[in-house]
Amino acid sequence: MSKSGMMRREERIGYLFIAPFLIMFAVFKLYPMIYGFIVSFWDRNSEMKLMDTTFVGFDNYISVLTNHSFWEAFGHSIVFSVIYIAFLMVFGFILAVILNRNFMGRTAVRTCFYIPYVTNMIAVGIVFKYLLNPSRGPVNAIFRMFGADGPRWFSSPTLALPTAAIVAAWAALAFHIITCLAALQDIPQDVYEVAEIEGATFMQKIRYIVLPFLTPTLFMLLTITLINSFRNYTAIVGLTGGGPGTSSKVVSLLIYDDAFNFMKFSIASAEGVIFTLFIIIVNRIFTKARSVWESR
Amino acid sequence: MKRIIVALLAMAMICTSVFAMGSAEEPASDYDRVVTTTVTATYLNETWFNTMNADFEKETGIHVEVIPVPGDEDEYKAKINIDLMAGSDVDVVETLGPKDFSRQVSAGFFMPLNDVVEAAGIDPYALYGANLPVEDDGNYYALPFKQEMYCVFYNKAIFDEAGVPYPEGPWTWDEYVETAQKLTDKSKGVYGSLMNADLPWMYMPAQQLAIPFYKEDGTCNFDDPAFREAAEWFKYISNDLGVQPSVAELEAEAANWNYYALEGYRLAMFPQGNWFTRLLNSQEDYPKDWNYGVAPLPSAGENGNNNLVSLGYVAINKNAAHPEEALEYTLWIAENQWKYEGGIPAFATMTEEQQQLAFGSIAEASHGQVTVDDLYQNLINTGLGAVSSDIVGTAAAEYYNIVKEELSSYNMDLQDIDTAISNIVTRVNEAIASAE
Amino acid sequence: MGKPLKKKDIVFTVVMWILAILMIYPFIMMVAISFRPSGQAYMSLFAPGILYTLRNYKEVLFHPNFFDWYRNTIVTVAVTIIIRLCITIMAAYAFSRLRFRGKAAILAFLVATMMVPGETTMVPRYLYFQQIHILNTLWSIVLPEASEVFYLILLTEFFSSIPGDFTEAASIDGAGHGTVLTRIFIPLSGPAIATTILFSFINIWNNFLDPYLFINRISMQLITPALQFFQEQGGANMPVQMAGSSLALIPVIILFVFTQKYFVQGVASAGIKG
Repeated sequence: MSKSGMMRREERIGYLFIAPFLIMFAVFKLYPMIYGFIVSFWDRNSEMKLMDTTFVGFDNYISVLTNHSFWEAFGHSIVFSVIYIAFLMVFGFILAVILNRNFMGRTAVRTCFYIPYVTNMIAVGIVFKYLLNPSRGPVNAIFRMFGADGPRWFSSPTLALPTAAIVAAWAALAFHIITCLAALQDIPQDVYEVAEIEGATFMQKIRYIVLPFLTPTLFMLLTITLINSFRNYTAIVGLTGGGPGTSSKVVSLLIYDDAFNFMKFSIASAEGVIFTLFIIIVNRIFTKARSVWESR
Repeated sequence: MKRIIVALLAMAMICTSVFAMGSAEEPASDYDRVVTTTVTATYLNETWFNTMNADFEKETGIHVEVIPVPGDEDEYKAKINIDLMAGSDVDVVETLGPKDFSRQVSAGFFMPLNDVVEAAGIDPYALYGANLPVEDDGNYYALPFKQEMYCVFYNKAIFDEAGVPYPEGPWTWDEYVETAQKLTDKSKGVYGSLMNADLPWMYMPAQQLAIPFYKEDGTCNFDDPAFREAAEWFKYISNDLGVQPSVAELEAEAANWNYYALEGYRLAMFPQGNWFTRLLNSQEDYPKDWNYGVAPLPSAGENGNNNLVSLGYVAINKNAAHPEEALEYTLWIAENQWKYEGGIPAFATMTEEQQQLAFGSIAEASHGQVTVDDLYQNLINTGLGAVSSDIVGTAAAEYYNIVKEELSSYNMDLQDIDTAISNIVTRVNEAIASAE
Repeated sequence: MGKPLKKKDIVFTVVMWILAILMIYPFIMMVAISFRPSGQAYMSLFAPGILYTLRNYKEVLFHPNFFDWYRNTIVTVAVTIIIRLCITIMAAYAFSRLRFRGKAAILAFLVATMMVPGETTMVPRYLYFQQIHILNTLWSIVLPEASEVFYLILLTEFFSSIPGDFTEAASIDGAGHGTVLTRIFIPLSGPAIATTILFSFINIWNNFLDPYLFINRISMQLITPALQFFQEQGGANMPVQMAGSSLALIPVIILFVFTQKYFVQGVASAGIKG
């Protein structure tokens, strides 16, 4: 068979192999995205207008962008994501490093660290509402032992959102620990041994061996966490319900409310499109940052 | 390796067949006549609801198939609207509260009942009086099957301990607060009062004064001074007077509020709907070591001699798959549900016998804590008029949410009352405008 | 490690154990609440006066639909994972080993769509699924879940890390791509496939929003949203929901504990780490 013939054959097989995935993807994932984009230009904004609807161009976008509630929720989403990402990146890394050391019952301890990951978010929410209860929760009891009242956590308008972000991050920690642990196992043992001989301290080893080795892993995790940090509907509903007032109402909650409580489907879709654009831009910036970092 | 593929395929086939079983439409029914109804998941776990449907089936031969919605009442309301809009063919829909009902009617979800109800030989105008939801077009799209009234429940043990006489109607909110002050004893963890960090408690007196929520031109009327006064009063008695837990404290609990009334704090008095008796009577779920009593809702002054009343409606989906059975079930529910639920029927007047029926079971379940007479005197025969406990009108759902959000922030000292009210007016007017 | 135990090591071990207990404390609390009457849900762990009861478990286990939910969930998870593995492995093989036009562009596009959070498309999904009549069936969960780009990337990266000699040797033998894939790649990718199965299992098992939105019939519901059927006047029946959550967790925990090793291995050898 000629070389070009083989190429053509390989190409055909290539398309054949990706076809099932792409078809499923196009029909059940991509189409809803496009559909949402289209709906956002129509006037499906009340239960009466679901069937007889008109094209309204950018009206929905204008009404979203001029809406105070949207920008508030937008800000909350960003705060949530920043805290969520920071917590996961820092603690995922630190815990992986210490769990990588040898000690008695390491496997059991590791399993304990993974359990929150498999617990459903609604149950986590119910339990944390009790744990962080200002008057009868154990966390504030510790504060009271030192004579302080302790913060109000979920009912404090300033703390509700950060607290929810940290609890959500806590529940997702296992993924980061596992990934970092896996990467740590790839560091050749002799590198450590050399460092040991040269008398490097623990911090020096982290700084000069572990971090450089884990940089690609951490960047990959950063991207995944960024995406996951916007999938926060269940966490917020389970923990704060968007309150107190609107102080922890994030975009996903706003979209749900607008769509399913107020039946403004087009407005909700427009909110979704705007928010997605934002995520794509942020991700572009991350990717750029990564390439700059790596080409240093 | 072939074996692996074969095994994989076999597994796939097994799973798909199990799956097909799981995903098949409901199996062909064994019953000749079926009616479907969507309810909140709360009903699902209550014996009276199942007994009621069984009795209906015995009487009419129609099997009731229940489609419950997971989650609480708010989730139920959202979900049922989505499904009706999507063209669900469920037959009978129960809605609590005029706010949500009026929205469903204006969305055209329901069948007009005038002809069919009257053909069944019922005169609903005489039977239900003002409780019949007649729309502007002269049709009614539902029958009211129950009403819920507010009253004050109190903890007799706390009154006895403090040597304060039990409250009696008629009384005013000033007297209520005065009593609460006498009972509040923070050293023992006793609060004189509890009002939910929710609507309508946050502006209850204004609603008793029947201040309209909409101005005549259809815009938001929350800038009426009565609303401001009521909201300020609520915050004053909670945050300044301290006779009840503040909104911040309640938010911090983040527990079901019914829990505070029974376990969390020791609460002397709490204005609540009559349905709360079910919790107070349930020694199994809410063990308590004190007896409760009932007093009428305090009056909000000369023009505010009103009780807040909410209605439950039963309606037929216009896409109902079994319209005939749906009608039978609807008529039956409107006539009988209150007897099973231990609620108050929505009839214009109640006969002696009906009072006995409505309150007898509650009194019995309370093991002597309250009598039929206590309940009748303090819920029905209070001398109070009736106003709706809901916001009813354009964009009512948004209106409700906005007021709750802004007033919560106000109560937690995040904004002053002027900002709260101006935010409410701006946001509600935006919502009204976009709804039209 | 053969060395004598140092004081430092003991301290470290103790600290790690304390941390571990803190990590599972909420889980312990969840189990504790599941044995209480609902009026006492929020009392502290060893508060005096708590009445312990098995009523909650009885209520869950004797619920006429509980085993439906369990079965639906297991079936959904199994079918999704099978479809997902089949189509993803094929696509990953093509993306990692075959040359065809537009490969890079298609992959880049797929990765870009990962940025769209599910929450932002729930409205169009609802309207669309209604049109194609898969609302109220388990297909509304399975079909959209089947093509998940995350797992495509994971497997593509893994396949790329398999040395080229293997395939070359095979193609000299005249083996087709199908044979290479089933004979060489799949047997070599145990850890990556295990990782895919586990992550898929956990994510679908704990998925709340999709089944909640797309499924109405009580007998068709999946376990996580179905726990919300346990309500009482005024809100959720916490202890019963906790009992249900505990029961729902059993298979996940079993799977997790027994496959933990693969989990780490799979991630280590697959692409996620970078």
